[in-house]
Amino acid sequence: MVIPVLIGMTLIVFFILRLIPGNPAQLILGQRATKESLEALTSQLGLDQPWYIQYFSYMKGLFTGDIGTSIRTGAPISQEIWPFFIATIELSVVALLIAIVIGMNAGVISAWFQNSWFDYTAMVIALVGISMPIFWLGLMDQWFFSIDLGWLPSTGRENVRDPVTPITNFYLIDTLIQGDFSQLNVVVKHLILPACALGTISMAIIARITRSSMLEVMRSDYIRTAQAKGMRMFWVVYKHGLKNALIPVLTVIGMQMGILLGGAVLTETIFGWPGIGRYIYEAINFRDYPVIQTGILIVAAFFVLINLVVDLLYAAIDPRIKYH
Amino acid sequence: MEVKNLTTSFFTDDGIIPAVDHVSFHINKGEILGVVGESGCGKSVTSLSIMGLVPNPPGKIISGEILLNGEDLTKLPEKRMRQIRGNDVAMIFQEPMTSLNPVYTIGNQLVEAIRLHQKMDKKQARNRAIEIMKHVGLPRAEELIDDYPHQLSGGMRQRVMIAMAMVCEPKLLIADEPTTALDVTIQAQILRLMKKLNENDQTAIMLITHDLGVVAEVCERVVVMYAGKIVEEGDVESIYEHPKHPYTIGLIKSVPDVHMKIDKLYSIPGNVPKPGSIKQGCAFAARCEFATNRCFTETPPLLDMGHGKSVRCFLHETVEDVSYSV
Repeated sequence: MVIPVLIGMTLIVFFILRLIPGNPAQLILGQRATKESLEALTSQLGLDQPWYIQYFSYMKGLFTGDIGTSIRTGAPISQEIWPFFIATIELSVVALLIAIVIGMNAGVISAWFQNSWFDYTAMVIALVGISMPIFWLGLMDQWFFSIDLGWLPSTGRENVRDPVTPITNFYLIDTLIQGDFSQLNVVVKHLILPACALGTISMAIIARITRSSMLEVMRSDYIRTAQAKGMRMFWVVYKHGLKNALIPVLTVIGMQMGILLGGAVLTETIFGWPGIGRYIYEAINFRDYPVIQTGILIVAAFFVLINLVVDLLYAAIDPRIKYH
Repeated sequence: MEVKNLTTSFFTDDGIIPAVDHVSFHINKGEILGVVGESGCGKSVTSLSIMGLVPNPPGKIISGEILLNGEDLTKLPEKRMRQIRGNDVAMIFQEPMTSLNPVYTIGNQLVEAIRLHQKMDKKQARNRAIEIMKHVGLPRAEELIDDYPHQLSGGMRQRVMIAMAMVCEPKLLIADEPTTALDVTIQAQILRLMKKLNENDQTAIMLITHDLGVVAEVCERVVVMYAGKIVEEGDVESIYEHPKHPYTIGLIKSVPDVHMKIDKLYSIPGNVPKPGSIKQGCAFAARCEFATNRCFTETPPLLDMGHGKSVRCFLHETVEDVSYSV
């Protein structure tokens, strides 16, 4: 399943890119470039070949492990893209963790105390959270927490005057490995605002799904059985209820991870986060075909991978689900 | 255990509905009491009231006492109630297919029940679980303990439920229609098991059912309920041989008899009234062939007939009637 999906993905991206007007050679050489130099560069980039030759050489590269070279910088994409990609993963994972911890608990407690003030408040906030445009929320966060209160930095990923020495490019992990806690503090502070802004919608969606799934589970006979054993309600809810309610929640979490990866562009732009969203965005401006193709392919591959993990987790959670 | 004047009502948009209405009965030590009645007559709510598990809101115990060894369960704080649930009073439910948690193994759920009330480490509790599984007649208990509920048949699941309920040797076991969802052959096995446990362990059982055949097989005394009220109470033989309340008579008549070839099975005319819909008079009056005008205006009291028997019907008020029935 995974391979055909990814091949289909390369096809779609490849053709849509070539439908966008604009010539990379023109963009590199500028408006005043001569016809000869334009033609020379176009043929050097291989863009004068018929589309199927271009596609096949691209695919051939992929299968031999060569993900291409940037038209704009001339550097291999494999070297360039990694830090950007990791930066996005770090941001998305932290955003998702915040969304899961807060969203899931809010959903569980809302279902447990259905129609209580907590339930109403949490669900109104969740509704607002879903409807909130992320760029607006990001700007408001910046204005309030960094400009007004001055608690947190507004943009970037690190202190540019004292950059983190990358090892894995996950700065949280890098600073921990190096035992540099003042740097860790800086990195965490830079993460909080963009992660919260990015995670808000996911948090709201997770809260609502958890609540509705839990409400259904809490009516089950086995919940009554657990209560009849003399179990504390907290454990009835979190042990017997939550695990049964987890399947739809997990599905949503998997999809949200993909959406966060792809949708981080806005957040990354607002918060000056050097992630893959911004990397691809800049590549689009320069019609840097190989970078766009590969960037989108990597995000798509990651999305497919996460869904695979989610499918495997289903079986781990529910013994009635088996894969052959 | 003694239930005195228990009233449990549901507060709904249509008003307050008394699902259990001034119900009093008792269960002696080591006794099997049958509670009989059609669906919606308040049997299950009575048992949930005893367990303190009436869904609240909308349900609430309005009045009455539930005395277990002198302790009134209706007044206990939740913490003490949790110690009683599963330990002194255990319950098994109608649907063995859905009453076990599908995502945990049988062993996990049994061990959990043990460790909630007894100080045991995981290993000891597991051994105890295997022991109780064998006790309720589950084969290959050592392997079965690591199975998930969906790998078991309905009868086996109900045995697991019984094992789970019996694991702390409760004084009272409430069985809410334990055999309704099972095949007839499995029903007999489960009933025999419950009878055996009752005899061996001296556990009192409150057996809730709509099946008079089940009652005849295992119970000593019977309480017949109708529309939230007790309409007749007595020992099994006298209720079968000399039923007094027209509703009980109807119930017994509707059990098909293999020796009689008939074209049409008997059924009590009409339906069980919606709880709370009858404001005055006897709740059964509309379906009763002996009903008089008085039955529609006055609520009959529960008449003590002596020998532990009682009936809620005007027919037995007069002396002649009493002599007729004894």
